[in-house]
Amino acid sequence: MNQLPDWMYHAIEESSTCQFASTTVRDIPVALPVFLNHFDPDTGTLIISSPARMKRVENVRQRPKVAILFSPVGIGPEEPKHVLLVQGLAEVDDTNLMSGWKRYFAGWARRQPSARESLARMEQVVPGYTQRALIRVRPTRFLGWPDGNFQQSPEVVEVNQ
Amino acid sequence: MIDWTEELFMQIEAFSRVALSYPGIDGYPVVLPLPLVFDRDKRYFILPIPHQRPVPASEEQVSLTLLHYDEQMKSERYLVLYGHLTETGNEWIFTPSHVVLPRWGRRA
Repeated sequence: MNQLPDWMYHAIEESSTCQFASTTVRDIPVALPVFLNHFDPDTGTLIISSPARMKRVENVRQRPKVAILFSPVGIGPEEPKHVLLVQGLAEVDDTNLMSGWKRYFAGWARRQPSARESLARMEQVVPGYTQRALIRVRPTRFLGWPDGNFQQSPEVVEVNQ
Repeated sequence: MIDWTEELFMQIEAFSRVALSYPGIDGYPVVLPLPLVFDRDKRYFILPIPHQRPVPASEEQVSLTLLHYDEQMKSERYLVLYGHLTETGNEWIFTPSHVVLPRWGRRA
């Protein structure tokens, strides 16, 4: 993959939540907050996990063009203001719903430490919460606005597939 | 149709920012973070149009995700609205037509 500007790596690695957009059956993109589980800086692949029952999973199967937005969530003035939109092709890995996602759980728990304790409770409240598919995103394009300045043209990195 | 109850108004006004999603011309979703400005009387959202943004392929196939970061839980609350955009000078008007309450297994 092409080298990204340093700030783009930081925007991904230092993110807390991000917005994952898939496209519904009515062809409407919809973005929901997720925790990034893993980012491979060499290949650019991003991985999230999602309860297999969520419509997001079927959306990705049927319409694999997706986007992930990294932007400030409002945790304080020291938070970087960078905005990074990653567009890419996603695939669903549902071969091991019980534990396949656990290989990448450390990345999620780093962003949400309470997840280690809350998983069991979430499974009780939301049956199927821990039956999770992996969604792997191979980026096709990175569009970034350093410091969130939309008055400037985005820095664009196209990825050769 | 949306049932504009006082409870819904209060829910909307409790969020702090939005993510606007629309299809780009190459079929990839575009998601932009924008400030939340809601006109309670007109029941629409006023969004500043970023000067440099990917062009929408459609102003009808649009959704708006209202977001609020919960510092204690280290997670985000959200509410999704479907609707359409109208461009008026430097602003988009997002008029919602459908609201999705974040209940497990319902939508998205």
